[in-house]
Amino acid sequence: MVWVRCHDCGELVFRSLSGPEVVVAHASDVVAQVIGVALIDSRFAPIRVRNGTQAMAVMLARRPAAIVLDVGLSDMMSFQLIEKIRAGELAGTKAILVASVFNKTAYKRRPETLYGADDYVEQHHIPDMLPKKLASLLNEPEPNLGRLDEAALQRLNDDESMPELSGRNRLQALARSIVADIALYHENEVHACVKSAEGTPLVSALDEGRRLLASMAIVDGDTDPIQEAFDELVRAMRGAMCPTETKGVAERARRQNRYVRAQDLWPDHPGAIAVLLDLLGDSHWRVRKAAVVAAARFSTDANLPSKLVDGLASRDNAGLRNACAEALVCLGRPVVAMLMETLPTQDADHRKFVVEALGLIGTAEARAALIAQLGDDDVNVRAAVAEALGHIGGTEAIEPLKAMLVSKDTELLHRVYILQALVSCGETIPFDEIQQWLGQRVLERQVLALLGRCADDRAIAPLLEGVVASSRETRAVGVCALAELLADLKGKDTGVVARTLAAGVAREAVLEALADPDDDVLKAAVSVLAATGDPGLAPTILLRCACRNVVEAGVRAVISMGSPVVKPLLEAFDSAPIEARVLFLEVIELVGDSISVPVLLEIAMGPDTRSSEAALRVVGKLAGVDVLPALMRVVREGVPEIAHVAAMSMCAIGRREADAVGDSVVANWMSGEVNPEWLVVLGGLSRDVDIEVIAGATHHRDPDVRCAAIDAARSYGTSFDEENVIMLLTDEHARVRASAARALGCYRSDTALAALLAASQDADPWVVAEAVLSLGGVGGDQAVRVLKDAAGSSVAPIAIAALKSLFRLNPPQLEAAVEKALAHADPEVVREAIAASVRLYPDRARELLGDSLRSRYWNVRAAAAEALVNRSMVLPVEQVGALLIAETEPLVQESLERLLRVAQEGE
Amino acid sequence: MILGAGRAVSMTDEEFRLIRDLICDFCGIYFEDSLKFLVERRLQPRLPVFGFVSFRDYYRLIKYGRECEREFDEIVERVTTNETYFFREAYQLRAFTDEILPMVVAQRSEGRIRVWSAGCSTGEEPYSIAMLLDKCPIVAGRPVDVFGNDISRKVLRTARAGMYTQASFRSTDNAYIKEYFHRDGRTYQLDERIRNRVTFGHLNLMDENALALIGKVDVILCRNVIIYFNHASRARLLATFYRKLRPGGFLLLGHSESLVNETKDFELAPLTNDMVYRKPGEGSLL
Ligand SMILES: C[S@@+](CC[C@H](N)C(=O)[O-])C[C@H]1O[C@@H](n2cnc3c(N)ncnc32)[C@H](O)[C@@H]1O
Repeated sequence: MVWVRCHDCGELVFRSLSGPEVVVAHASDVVAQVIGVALIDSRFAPIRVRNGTQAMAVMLARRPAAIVLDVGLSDMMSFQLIEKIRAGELAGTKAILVASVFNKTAYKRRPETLYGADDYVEQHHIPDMLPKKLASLLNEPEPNLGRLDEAALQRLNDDESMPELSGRNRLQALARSIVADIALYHENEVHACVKSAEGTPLVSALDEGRRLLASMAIVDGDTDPIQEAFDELVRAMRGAMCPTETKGVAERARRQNRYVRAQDLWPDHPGAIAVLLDLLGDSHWRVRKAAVVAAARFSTDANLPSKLVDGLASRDNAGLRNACAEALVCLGRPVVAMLMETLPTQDADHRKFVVEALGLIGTAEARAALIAQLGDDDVNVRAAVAEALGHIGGTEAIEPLKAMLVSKDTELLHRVYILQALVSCGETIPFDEIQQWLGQRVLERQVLALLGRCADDRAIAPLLEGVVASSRETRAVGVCALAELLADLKGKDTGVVARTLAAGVAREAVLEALADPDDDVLKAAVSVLAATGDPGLAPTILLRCACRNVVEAGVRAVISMGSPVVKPLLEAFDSAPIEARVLFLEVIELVGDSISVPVLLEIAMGPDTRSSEAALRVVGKLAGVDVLPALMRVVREGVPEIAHVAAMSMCAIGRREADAVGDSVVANWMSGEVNPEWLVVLGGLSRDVDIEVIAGATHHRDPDVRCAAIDAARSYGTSFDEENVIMLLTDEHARVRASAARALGCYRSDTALAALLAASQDADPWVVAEAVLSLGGVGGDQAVRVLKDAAGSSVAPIAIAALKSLFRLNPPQLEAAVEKALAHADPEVVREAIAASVRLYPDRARELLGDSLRSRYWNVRAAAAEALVNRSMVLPVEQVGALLIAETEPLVQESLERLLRVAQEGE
Repeated sequence: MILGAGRAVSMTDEEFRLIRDLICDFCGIYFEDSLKFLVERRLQPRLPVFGFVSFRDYYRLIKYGRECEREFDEIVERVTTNETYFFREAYQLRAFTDEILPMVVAQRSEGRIRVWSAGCSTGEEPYSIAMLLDKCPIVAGRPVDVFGNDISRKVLRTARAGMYTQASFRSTDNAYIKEYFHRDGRTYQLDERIRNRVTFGHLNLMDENALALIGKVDVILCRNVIIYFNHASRARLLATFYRKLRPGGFLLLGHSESLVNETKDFELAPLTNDMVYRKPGEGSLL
C-alpha cells in the first residue's frame, strides 16, 4: 500500500496499484487502515477519503467500482451521499455501509433497508466479510477469507475516534456517527419520527447514545449533541421525502409510485404475492421498507413464507434478502419449521440469514437445529448461531456453547458471541471456569456479567475492578454484576465491598452510576451502595430514585440499612424536592423510629400537602398518645384534606390506645366542639360507648355532621339503630340521604328493603345509585325487579351500581341486564357489564364479548379482549387477526395479541 | 408498591390512561405513559380517604362524582409542579424592562398597561415584575396592573402571604432582598408596597368560562407552564392568549418552550436580550 496525493482532488490517499478501485470513506484512521488492509489483501485498490464531500469529488474524478462508507460520515448523512450517487452518473457504483455498532455487544436486529446501500458490514467483520461482499457485488472471484486477529480487534475497540477534530466539531461528528448507527438499527422508529412530530420511540436508544458519547468526550451539561444530530437526521430524511432539486425526477416518480403501491398492498389484490416480492426487492430502501410492513398483512397467506425463504437465497439482490428476512421475522412462529428445513443450504450467507431470523423469532423449536449448526464451517454463521442461541435461551444450549468456548480453534470474536450468548441465556458458570478469561479486554463486559452470577466470593475483587473500568459502558455492566453477586452472597462476609466503597474512585464510580439513564443500572448501584450499610447515603439514593421508575428498589435498599437512616433523611429534608421528601417520609414510616415524631409534626403543619399527608401517616403509625394534642390541633386548624388525614392518623393511634383517643375526642364533642372529623375518629374506633354520641349527631343541624355521623354509624353494622338510619332517608339534603342509603345495605330486614325500594325512586341520582347498591346486599324478588330496571338506566352510576348488585345476587335476570348494558352509551357501564358477563353461559358470553371487540371505545375493546383471554375463550384466528391489523391503540393491540395466541393455541 | 398497608393498590394501564386523560381534559397537564408510576404514587393517598380499594372506583368518582370538582382541586395539588423563584430567566426580564415596556408605552400613549403572569405559582414571577416596575422610570406615573393566576389554591395562599424562604432567592441580587424584604428568622416577608402592586386570582387556564373574566392585556408571561401540557391543550391555550393580547402585545415563554410546531399566529420578535413572541399588529413588524 502506498500513500499518494490524489492528483484529482489533492487529498492524501492510500492506494495500491492494481484491481478494481474502491473508495473508502471513513473518518477514523484505524478503521480505514483495517479496511485498507483487508481490501488490498483481496486485490482491490482502496482510495481513502475522510468525508462525503471528498468522496463525491474523488468518485466523480475516478469512477470507482464501489464505495465503502462509514454509516456516520462527518459532513453528511450516509443516506444522502448514497442518494447523490444514485441520482447521477455514478448510479451503478456499489455501496457498502460500515456500521460502527455503537454498542458492540447488544443484540442487534439486522438492518433491513440499508438506506439505499447494497449491503452493510459491521466494523469488527471487516476482514472476514467485506472483501467477500464486495467480490460478490462486483462479480469478482471469491477472495481468500481474512480473519480478524486480536490486535486488530483491540485497535478497533480502543479507537479514539476522530482525533483530528476538536471541541464542538468533534462532539458533533461523534454524535452524528452514533446517531447514524442508531438509525441503521432502528429504522422503524426513525421512520415513525420522520412521519410524525413526536420523537418518543427512540428514547432509550438515544439515551444509550448519550451515554456512549459521554464516555468518549466531555459533553457540556446544557447541550445535547445526540438530540441535535438526531433532529438533523430526521429533518434531512423529511427533506428527502419531498426533494426540491429537479434531477432524477423520473426515478423519484417511480419510487413514489412503488412506495404508494406497497403501502396499499393487501392480500386480496390480484397477484398480490408476486407484487409484494417485487417490491421487497426494490432498489430503493423506502419502498422495501413499506413492503416489509405490507408483508405483515399477509400473515394468514400460506404461500408467502416459502416465497420469502426463496428470497433469502437471492445472490444478486442483498436488499431483497434483507427485506425477506425482516418480513419472515414479522411473520414469526409459523415460519420457523420452514426456515429450519432450509438450513442445510450451501450458501453460507443464506444460512446466516436463516439463523438470524430464527434467533429473532426466538421460539424454542429452533434450538436443537441451531445447536447442530454451532459447528458450521463458516465463521460468520457460527457467530450468528451463538447470538441466536443466546436470544432463544434455555439450558440445552449451554453445554455445547461452553464446549465451543474452550475449544482452541474458536476465534476471539466468536468467543465474545458465545460468552454473550451464555450471558443472555442466564447461565451460571463456575468461577474457576471464568477465571481464564479475566484480563482480556475484548471479553471484559461478558466476563463481568458472568462473574455477577457465579455466586462465588472470589468474584468480588475482579468486579470491584470492573466498576472502575475505563469505559462507562463497562462500568455499568460491572455495577450490575456486582449487585447481582452481592444479592447471591447474602449472609456471607462481603465486608471488603463496604471497605472498598467507603471512599475513593470505586465509591465515586458507583455514585456516578446512580445518574445512569438506564433504570437497571440505577437499581444495581442502589443495591451496591446499600450493601455498604452507610446510612449517610440514604438521602442521595432516594433523591436519585424519586423521579424514576425504581422507587421501590430505592426504598427497599434504604430500609435495609435500618433506623440510622432517619437522622440523615430528616437533615436533608428541607433541601430536597417534594417527590423525594415523600419518599423520605415513607422510609421513616417503614423503619419506624419514634424519635422523628416531633419533626414530623412540624412537617405536617407545613405548606406542602403531600409531605403533610405522608408525615401524618407516619405519626399515626409511630406515635403514642402524647401527640394527641398536636394532632387535634391539625384537625382544628388544618385545611380540610389535611384535617381529615390527621383524623385518620388519630384512628391509627387509637388502634393501640382506643380509650385514650376516644375519650379525648368525646370530651371535645361534649364541650360543644362540633367537627365532623371527630365522628370520623369515633367511627374508626367503633367503641360501643360512643354509639349514643354518634346517634345524637345524626340529628345535628349541620348536614356535614349528619353525613359524618351516618358514615361513622356504618362501622357499627347492625348494632346501630336501623330506624334511625331509615329516618335519615327523608333528610332534605341529598348527600345525607345517599349516606343513609349506603348505610342501610347491611340490614337484611324487610323494613330496610322497603326503605331502599323507596329510596331507589329518589329524585337524586346519587341516592338512587347508593340505594341500588345496597339492594344487592338485601336481595329478594322485589329488589331484583328494581335492579333489572336500574341496570338499563341511562345514568351511568345507577346502571353500574345495578350491575354490581345483580352480579352479587346472580338471579336469572342477570343475563338480560348484561346484554342490555353491553349496548350502553357509556363505556364505563359496558366495562362493568363485561366484568359481570363471567356469570353468563360461556358460549353466549363469548359471542357478546366478541361484539364488544368492535366497540368504538378503546378501553371496552381492551377489556373484552382481556376477558376472553382470562376465560380462555377461543375466537377464530382470522377474526382476531383482522381486528389486530385494524387496531391502532397500543394497549388494545397488546390484549389482542394475547387473544391471538389463545386462538392459535386453540386451533 | 410495597409501601404500607392500605397503600398497596396499583394502577392498571387502563386506569392510568383514563385518569390521565381526565386530568389532561381538566387542566391540560399530560403524563406520558412512562410516568404512570408518578401518577400512581401521587394519587394513592387519596384512595383510603374514600375507602376505595381500586383506582377504577377513584376514576368513577372523578368522572361522575357529585363532588368531583373538589377532588380535582386535590388532584391539582398533587400533579402540578410549582417550582419557581425570583428573577428566574433574568435575561428575559431584562428584555421586559429594557425593550418590551418601552415599546408598549410608545404604542399606547394612554390607559393602563396590563401584565399577566399565567401560572404564577407562589408569586415570585409577578412580584419580580412588580419590583422591576418599581425601579423603571419609563412607566413612572403610568398605571401598570400586574396580575397572577394559578390553578393551585395552595400556591396562591403563599403568593398572597408574600412570605418566602431562601430557596426563592437563588438568582436574586442582594440589593433587592435588602430593599424589598424583611427577614424574620428563616423567612423573608415581602414589602407591603410590592405586594399591593400585584393582584392574584384562582384560574384554570383550560376553563373557557373563567378566562372570559380576563380582559385585553399587553404582556403575558406564561413560563414553564405549557411544558407540562400536551399538544392539544397547548394549542387551546395559545389561541386564548392570542385573543387576550392587544395587537402588538407580547407573549413570554420559558426558555425550553417554543411555538415551533404549535402555532403560526405569533411572530418572533428578536430583541437584544431575548427572543419573544408577539401578536402581529400596529408597529409590531420589527
Ligand atoms: C413550574 S410553575 C411556573 C411558575 C412560574 N411561571 C415560573 O416560571 O417560575 C407552573 C405553574 O403552572 C400552574 N398551572 C398548571 N396548569 C395550570 C392551569 N391549567 N391553569 C393555571 N395554572 C396552571 C401550576 O399550578 C404551577 O404553579
